[in-house]
Amino acid sequence: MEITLEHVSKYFKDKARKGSPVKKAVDDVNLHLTPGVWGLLGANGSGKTTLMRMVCGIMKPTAGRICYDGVDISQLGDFYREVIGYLPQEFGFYPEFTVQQYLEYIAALKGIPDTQAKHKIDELLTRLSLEDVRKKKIIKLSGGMKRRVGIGQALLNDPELLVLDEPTSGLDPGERVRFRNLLSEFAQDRIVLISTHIVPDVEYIAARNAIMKNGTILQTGTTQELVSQIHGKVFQAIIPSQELGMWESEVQIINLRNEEDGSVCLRYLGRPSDIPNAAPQPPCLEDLYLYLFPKS
Amino acid sequence: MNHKNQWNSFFAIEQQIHYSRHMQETIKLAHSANAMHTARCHIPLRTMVAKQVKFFALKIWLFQGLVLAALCALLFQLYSINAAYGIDAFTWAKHSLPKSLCLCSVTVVICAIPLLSRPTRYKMAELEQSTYFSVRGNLLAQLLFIGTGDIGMLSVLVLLAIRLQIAGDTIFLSLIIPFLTAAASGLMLWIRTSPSFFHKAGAILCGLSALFVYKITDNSMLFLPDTAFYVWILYALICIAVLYRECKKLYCRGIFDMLLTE
Ligand SMILES: Nc1ncnc2c1ncn2[C@@H]1O[C@H](COP(=O)(O)OP(=O)(O)OP(=O)(O)O)[C@@H](O)[C@H]1O
Ligand SMILES: [Mg+2]
Repeated sequence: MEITLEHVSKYFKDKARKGSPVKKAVDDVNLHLTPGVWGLLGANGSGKTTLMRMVCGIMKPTAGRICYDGVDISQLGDFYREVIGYLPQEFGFYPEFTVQQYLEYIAALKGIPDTQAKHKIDELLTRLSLEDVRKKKIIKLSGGMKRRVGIGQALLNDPELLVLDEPTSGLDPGERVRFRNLLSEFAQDRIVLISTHIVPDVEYIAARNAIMKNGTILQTGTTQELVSQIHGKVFQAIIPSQELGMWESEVQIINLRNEEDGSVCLRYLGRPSDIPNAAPQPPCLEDLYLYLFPKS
Repeated sequence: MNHKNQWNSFFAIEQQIHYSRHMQETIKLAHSANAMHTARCHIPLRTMVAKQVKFFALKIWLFQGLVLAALCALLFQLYSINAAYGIDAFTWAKHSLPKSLCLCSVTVVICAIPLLSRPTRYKMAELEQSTYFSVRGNLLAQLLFIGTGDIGMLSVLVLLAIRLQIAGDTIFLSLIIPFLTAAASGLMLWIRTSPSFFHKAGAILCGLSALFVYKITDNSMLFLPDTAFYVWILYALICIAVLYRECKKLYCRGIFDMLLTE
């Protein structure tokens, strides 16, 4: 099973823009998605949600085509929709629904027979630690719990292609770990596409990543492949707090921590010669993210 | 030329593949494609609609019932005020009541708009679209519930009008014709425009279309009392045909049509 994006673009009319009244949300994207977890990284407005909507067939590309096993998804219709599970970025629900009713409703829309749906709902409620709130109205749940209900509905039909738009926002660390394990288990022989701003989440579970910037895919590859390009550019140094202002303009700071003795521990992107006594550090995906999106 | 001959003459020589082997491979591929398609056991659309009764129908009918109660109360109130001011029931029935009935029929149609806008209002449209039955199944189910509710509301209004001694043709022209006009124009508009436009302008546009038609019926009854009625029957049939065609169109939509997120 594979999903191929061939020269996919999406333009929106944008009257507020002077000069060109067209906003290129996604611009000539080519991507070949194979089974495994794919992380989609990018700054706000880089086009992740638009790309995911097109992959799910709920938004029509302005140009290009998306193929499922070589067949254009616009020709597949119902068949394509039955193999996908989607969690939108903005999780919506009807205010009168309880968790159980909501999952039953989505199961009905997915065409899952009653007995099968019942089993699956019970299983997912247990796995997502939502058993206690199954009779509770969704509107009364906390943000993280709502998110878990959203993840649950996406998994109801055992989708072959699971698209999750920022699934981990609002989850506490424990739930985040459980979610990552759930996904890793689920992702065998399936394609899982996740977008998130929480880079460590992707780093832990995504076998491959795609980095988006201004509607285009900048790079794709495994985390190792991607971070290898900033090898030797990440350093850590301890400096007196008075010197911080001076270095701030010289290097790109990734992280700073105030120490008890009044000094500052600095992790930064730059050259070895920038700060004396700086020690090189193994780079991570977050460093790469800041390297590619310095302003965000 | 049959398929076997075609194969032998065009392909087999070039590709060195025998017809029987080609057939075996094709059958195997067809089986695997079929297995992939039938592996997932699905409930049919009618079962989905039946399940939707539990989720939506009762709420929709309750809402429509409340609107109907308000309309009836308004009509009775008008009737008693007119009676109190000494306007005799016959004059009133001839002049004011048809207008009120027309407004009622438009209200019946317009009260469907907040119901149809629920998926976008509660941000469920995106998710619903990504499911197997998609917008198509879901909205058809809701249209069905709203339609049956509308028929119920209209029936009660017709009975009420008969009780108020309004003639059959007046009921037809002031209740049924504006209803069909508003419903047909509303449905056409709904399928063809973006949700945000429809929710803002839908009520005004289908209300105006119905009132416009009502104005014409009013005049045509004055000037062409005999033949005009048959023209209006024909008009009603056309409206019903439009409603049927639009529903069918909704049912046969492709994956990318009627996208509520665009
Ligand atoms: N329906 C729309 N109409 C017009 N412009 C849109 C629409 N949807 C998205 N855009 C524009 O397209 C660009 C990409 O938006 P998108 O939501 O895909 O970004 P994103 O990467 O998901 O951002 P975030 O991380 O904030 O969720 C943005 O500039 C946005 O304003
Ligand atoms: Mg987004």
